[in-house]
Amino acid sequence: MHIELDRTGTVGVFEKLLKGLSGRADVNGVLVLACDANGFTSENIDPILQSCSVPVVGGVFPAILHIQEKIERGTILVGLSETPSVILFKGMSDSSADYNRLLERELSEIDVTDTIITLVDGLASRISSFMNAMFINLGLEKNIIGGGAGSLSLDKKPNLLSNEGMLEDAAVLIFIKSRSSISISHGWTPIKGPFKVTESDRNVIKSLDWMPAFNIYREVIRSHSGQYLTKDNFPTLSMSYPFGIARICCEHIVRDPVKMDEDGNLICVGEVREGSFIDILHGSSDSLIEASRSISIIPGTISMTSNSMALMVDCISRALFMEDKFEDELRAIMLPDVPLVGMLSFGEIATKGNESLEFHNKTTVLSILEEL
Amino acid sequence: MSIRIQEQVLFEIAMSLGTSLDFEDMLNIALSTYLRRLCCMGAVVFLEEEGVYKERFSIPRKDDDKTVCNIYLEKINGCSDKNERQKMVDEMPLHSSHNGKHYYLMPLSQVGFLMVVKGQAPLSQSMLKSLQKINIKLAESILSCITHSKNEILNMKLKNQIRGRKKAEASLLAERKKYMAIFENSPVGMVYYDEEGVIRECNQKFIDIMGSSREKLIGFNTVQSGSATVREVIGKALNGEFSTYEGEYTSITGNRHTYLRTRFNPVTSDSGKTEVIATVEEIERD
Repeated sequence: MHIELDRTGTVGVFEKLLKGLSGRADVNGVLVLACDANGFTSENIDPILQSCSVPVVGGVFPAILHIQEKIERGTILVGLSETPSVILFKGMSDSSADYNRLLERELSEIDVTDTIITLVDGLASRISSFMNAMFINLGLEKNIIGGGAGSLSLDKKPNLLSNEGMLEDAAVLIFIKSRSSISISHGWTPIKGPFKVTESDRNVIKSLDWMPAFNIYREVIRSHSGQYLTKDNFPTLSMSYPFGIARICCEHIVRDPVKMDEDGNLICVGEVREGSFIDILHGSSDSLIEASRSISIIPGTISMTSNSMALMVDCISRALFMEDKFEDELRAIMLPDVPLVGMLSFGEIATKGNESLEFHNKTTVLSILEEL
Repeated sequence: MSIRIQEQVLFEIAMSLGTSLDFEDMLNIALSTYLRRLCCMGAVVFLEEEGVYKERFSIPRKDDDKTVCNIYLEKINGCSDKNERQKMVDEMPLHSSHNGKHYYLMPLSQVGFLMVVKGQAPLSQSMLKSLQKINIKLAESILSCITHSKNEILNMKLKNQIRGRKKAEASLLAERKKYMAIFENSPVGMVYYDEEGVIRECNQKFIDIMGSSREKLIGFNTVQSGSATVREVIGKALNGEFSTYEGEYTSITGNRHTYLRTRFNPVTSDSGKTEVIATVEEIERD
């Protein structure tokens, strides 16, 4: 395994590093984590990706992580010693796509490995359906980790990288021949609920307990913080009050209300099923940092080698919420002797100890990959 | 785990059951919700086929370890009779552990059995008890899908029969049109009598020979009202015997006098009454 970090974010340096890595005898695949600020486009990147002699996959994110640093311009390239199998899916917002059958067909042709890195277009509208198809086909025996790629501008544009070039509204599964561990935590706790989701459309919550969702949400925030939620202060105030779907085995699955539409509906990152029950959560920088600290452990089942690596998928909204304190979250992840790379994502994907496979929001996921 | 969360989870599972009449689609939605909300790893549905219980649906699709699944299947099929199987059902849910996982076998009323796999902690007794009602609803949904599928097969057969009949009817109609064209455009007069000797159909040439009209001719009973000679000849034909008449004839309905040669052809030559088709030619006397 080889990790290369480019802090310039230029196409030229990326091309040079990719050529260098893919030309090495001990590199048989490349994972790329790139910053949105690099300005990678299909025009300037596709020829480089298409001419790569080994499998190359990756994503474009608002920021990337290297050891304990958040980088907003630059690229990380990870050279993999074993050739990964790669499956690409297009049409991640296509309402007629049958992901179960597509995945079943694709999986029948490859050797399913212990670890699967999954990158999706974070702005696609059917990520939860895709997660369900992954659960139906793969179950929970494999370690699945990943997240949503995209830009903070929320513009829909190509954000995944593959040997075909840059892809939009797609997903990519990378099958890594390595044992791994996954830890998940978020630090948000319920302050009010449960509320029944009486009307929703995929990631849009329309009503709670048969009342307009915004009215309920505004009242809970007012009674908790004393602040009156308006359309203007929605982006900043809602950051502290995500929704949570309760589970019987572990922490809530967080849903981040990122926007309010003209009708007062609450638009979340990730689907909220009609008929489900949600709580309203709250957290502070300290509780979020403490949660990250709790996952900073290397399980005894993993044997560390010189080819081991930590992959961290942290939600971009945590960084926006914590602002300057986000560096403290990164410092809380103490993993001596193991290189850490990662990204700030639009939603996090992770299996948890034979119990769940979910698309999370506002959550930190840490995976230790034994032998890359 | 609080009772409140348990109730929420069970409600969501219940709401996910029976959302499709397609067996695969219904179980993909229902069983994935069932498993994911209960933090379970997988499930297998066993259904009866020709007296033997078999695995009909499973999550995950790719599951290499079938050890406990096969043990349970053997147990189900090993029952010597219905009473023994009922005794086993009464003792359910069965629980066993293998490789750190918990396996539960539960009945799906009237249709089969459900095996659920749970990693980490086992399912609580209160949850297992609550799942009994969920499983009844799941069984009903499976039964609906199977019934719907069977009905679909029956409906398909019926549709094929209807399609076949319509095709035969269309073929008959085409044949009928062809013969009607011959009948209508024949250069000789043609007339069709029923078994009683009543004219039921005739062509224009026949109307012209008779100097009459269609209205007067259709319904005219030749046996009762025709001349004695004609009555005798047609009587033979109505009894299945080919007969002819040649001679002078005065039309009763048209009062036209002419010289005719008529052949009376029984439709069936069996003994007994038959319909008759006659050809009528107006000829010059020798």
